[in-house]
Amino acid sequence: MMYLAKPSLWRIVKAQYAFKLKAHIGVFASLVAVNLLGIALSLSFSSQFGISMGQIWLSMRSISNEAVLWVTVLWAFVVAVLLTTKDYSDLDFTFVSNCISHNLSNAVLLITWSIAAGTFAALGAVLLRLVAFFVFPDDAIVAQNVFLAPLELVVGAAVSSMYMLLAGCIGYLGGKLMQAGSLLALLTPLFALAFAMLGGGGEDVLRGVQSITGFIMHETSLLLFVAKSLGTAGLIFGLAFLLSHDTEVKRQ
Amino acid sequence: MKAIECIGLNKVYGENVAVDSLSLVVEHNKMTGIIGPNGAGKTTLLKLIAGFLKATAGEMRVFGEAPFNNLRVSANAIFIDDRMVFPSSLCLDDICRMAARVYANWDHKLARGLLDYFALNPKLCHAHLSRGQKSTVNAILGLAAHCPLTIFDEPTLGMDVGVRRDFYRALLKDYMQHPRSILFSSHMLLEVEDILEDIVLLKDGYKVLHLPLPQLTEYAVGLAGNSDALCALTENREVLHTRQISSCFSYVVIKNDLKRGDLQQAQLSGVDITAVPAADLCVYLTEQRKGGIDDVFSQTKSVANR
Amino acid sequence: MRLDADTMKPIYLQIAEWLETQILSGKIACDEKVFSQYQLAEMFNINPATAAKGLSILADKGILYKKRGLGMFASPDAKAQILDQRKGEKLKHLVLELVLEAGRLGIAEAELTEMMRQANEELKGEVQS
Repeated sequence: MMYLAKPSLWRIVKAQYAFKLKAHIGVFASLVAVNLLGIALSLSFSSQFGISMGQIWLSMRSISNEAVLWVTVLWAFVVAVLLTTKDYSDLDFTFVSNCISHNLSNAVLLITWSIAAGTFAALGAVLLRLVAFFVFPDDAIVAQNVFLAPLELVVGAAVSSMYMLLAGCIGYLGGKLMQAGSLLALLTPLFALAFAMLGGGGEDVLRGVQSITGFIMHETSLLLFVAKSLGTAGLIFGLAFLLSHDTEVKRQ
Repeated sequence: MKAIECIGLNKVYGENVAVDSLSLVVEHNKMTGIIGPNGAGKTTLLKLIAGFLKATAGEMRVFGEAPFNNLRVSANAIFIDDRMVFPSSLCLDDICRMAARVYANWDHKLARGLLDYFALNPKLCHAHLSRGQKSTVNAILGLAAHCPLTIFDEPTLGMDVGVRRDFYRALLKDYMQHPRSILFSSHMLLEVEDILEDIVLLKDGYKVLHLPLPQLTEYAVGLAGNSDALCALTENREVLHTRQISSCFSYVVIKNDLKRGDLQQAQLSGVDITAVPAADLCVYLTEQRKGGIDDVFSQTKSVANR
Repeated sequence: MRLDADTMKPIYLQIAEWLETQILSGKIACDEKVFSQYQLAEMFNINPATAAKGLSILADKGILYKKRGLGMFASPDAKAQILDQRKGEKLKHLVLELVLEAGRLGIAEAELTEMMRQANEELKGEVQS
């Protein structure tokens, strides 16, 4: 007689997480590639302007690592969308799974990838400075923040990880909406937004959006910023979870 | 104990009724074949049982619980088909390790032994295998998981004859050592009927019959002989299949309710009575087509003769 | 249409007949344990339930008997029973063939019985001489 097994949710989530981390190991390679791309973009879009003061020609070049950050944010978004596609999400259901364990292990996976991406983005900033030093050897570096203290690096990594996580959760929600077959549900808020803007309430809407993004982005306290981002990410993920709770496994 | 119980089960995709008010009870530790022509609803039924799909209407219980989105049912069931996809970053060993972590009864020695026997290196990548090799690996996963409910949906697609034979034998031996509920869908009943205990025959999403195989082999008889003699015998009987062999010689399959007297009458009028193989019977019972393939040719012939 | 009647016989009947032949040929002696359903399943690659059905047919006929917890055993008169039964079946079949053929040849019943009586006497004479 074969006895029925009583599974523990946490054991299943742990197993699924480890399995998917290994299955999607290629994600890390793409992260490195995206970072290098960001650095290249930063260097090529560096703004340059000059002033002449009598016989002295002063040229200034400003390089920002924003491109690295935004390219990585885009990467987090795309990777999260991919995670919801059929091939990726069917993997869990090959063996033991339900919607809860599937979404929970995806959440831990997204957090892992976000921290990796945030750390890479922060390190990218250091690399960018190094590269800039060699690419423009004749320039004198005068700007601030050229040398990052270890603590600054950690703070930078934490802050960018939060951005990655938010982007990832938004991507995950969008992906789950598309998988649920309700492209309509995905477009409705966008249409509503567009209508509101056309209908003259453009400024109000813009202010609304700004106040939402500002709620997180303009937070000056690190702890509060992390708390706000985590809360928002959790909210978005929770919504994705609720939407996908009744999804059937197609495996076709 | 009942492994599976469904009452008035329905599954509708848009206009298409895949499973139509189906009621079924499968006792635990039986090896049951799910048989039917293409589009009969075999895969949909199996996916409903595995908890992949949500029934449109009706009740479904697996080990006493609703299977959809149920972790406990999932931990006690495995669903094997040819659409299992694993990323190319995973080797067979990784996949086996994952199965070992989530399936309580996983038999690692069996998995290794079977991989070795079929000359499949555990370091190979699942995505790079041939179709038949993939099917073999999937079947091995299904065997080694030792799940109380093991579901094979057309597991032998792409396998060589030799591999198929070995797999059926492995399945039977493993089943006898570790009795469990096994559902096996196949369109090649002839190959698997010997190892099955029960058969569920589906057609257009409904259940035609659910019988132990010995009863299925007695369900119908074939009569071959003079057409006039056959007419007398088949009067008021349920005819399942007719085939005209020559102008005055026919083969008829009827439901087996012949009495001793009928048998003698048949013998006296020169009619041969034969058993109908289960595989043939299942085809006759689920035939969608009118008449037989021979009719198409006799019609075209008569047109040509004109 | 497949005409090979033997292969069209249900598996459990083939199993029962195979066991009978084993007993007839003396490979299984009286009061000896016969194969279990699992051994038969292994040997013939069939479901153990089907093998059990083959065994239960023989048990119903009294050719096998069951010892609780020990399995199935061949009855003391198993061999005689099988012989009787096979004789009965074979002869019945031959007689029916004979009657059918006589009917086709237009031989009356009285003539047929007379022919059978004569054949019997001829055989007896041969044995005596």
